[in-house]
Amino acid sequence: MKSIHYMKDTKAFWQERNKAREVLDQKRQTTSYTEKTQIAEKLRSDANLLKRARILSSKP
Amino acid sequence: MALKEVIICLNRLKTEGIIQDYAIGGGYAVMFYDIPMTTYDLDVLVVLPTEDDYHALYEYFRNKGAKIENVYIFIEEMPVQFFPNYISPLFDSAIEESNVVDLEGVSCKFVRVEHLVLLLLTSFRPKDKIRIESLLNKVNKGLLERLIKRFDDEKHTLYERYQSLLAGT
Repeated sequence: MKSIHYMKDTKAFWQERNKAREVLDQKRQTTSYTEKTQIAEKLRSDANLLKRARILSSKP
Repeated sequence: MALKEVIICLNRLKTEGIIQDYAIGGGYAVMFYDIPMTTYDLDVLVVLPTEDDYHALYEYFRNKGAKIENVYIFIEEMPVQFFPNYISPLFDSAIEESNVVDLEGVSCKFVRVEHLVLLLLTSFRPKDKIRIESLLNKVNKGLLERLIKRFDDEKHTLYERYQSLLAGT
C-alpha cells in the first residue's frame, strides 16, 4: 500500500492547532478558583457519563 | 455545558447536512477508553470534503451567535475543535472505522482505540506519551502496527515513536 506522508503534509495545520491549545490551557490555568472548581466538576460529570457509555457497533 | 448536550448538537449538525459525519477523538476519547484525565476541549474529526465546507461550519455557528475563539467553537460553553477530513487520510480512516457508542440513549461515534493511539503518536507531546502508555494494553497491536505502516512517513517517525514507548513499558 502506498505510504501517505501524514506527518509532513499536516505540519502547519498541527502547529496552528497546538498553539491554539496552548493559549486555551494558559487561559484555564490563570482562571479563578471558582471557575477551576466548576471545570473540575464538569470533568467528573463527563467522566461518569463516559463510564456508563457502551459500544453498539464496531468495524471488524 | 454537559458533554451529552454537545453530542446532541453534533448529531444535529449531521442531520442538517452541515457535516457529513464525525467521530470524537482527543482527551475525551482517552477518557472513554481508559482513564479520567484533565482535558478542556473536545476534539471532533469531521467529514467536510472541502475547505469551503469547513468555513461554512464556522459560518453556521457564527450566525447562531456562538462564541468563536481562535480555532475553537464554543458549544454549550465547551470549546470544540473540528478536524476536517480533507487535511489527512488518517482522519478519513479514523472516522470511517469509528465505533458507534450509546451515551445514555444518545448515539455518537468515537474513534477506535487504535486510531486514537495513532493520532496521539502524531502529536506526541509529553502528555500524549503518558496517554499512549495507558492505552497500549487496550489496543489490538496487530491492527495498530498495520495502521502505523499505512500512515507513516518515509523516516518511519510513527513506528520509531511507537517502538520507543514499547521499550519503556
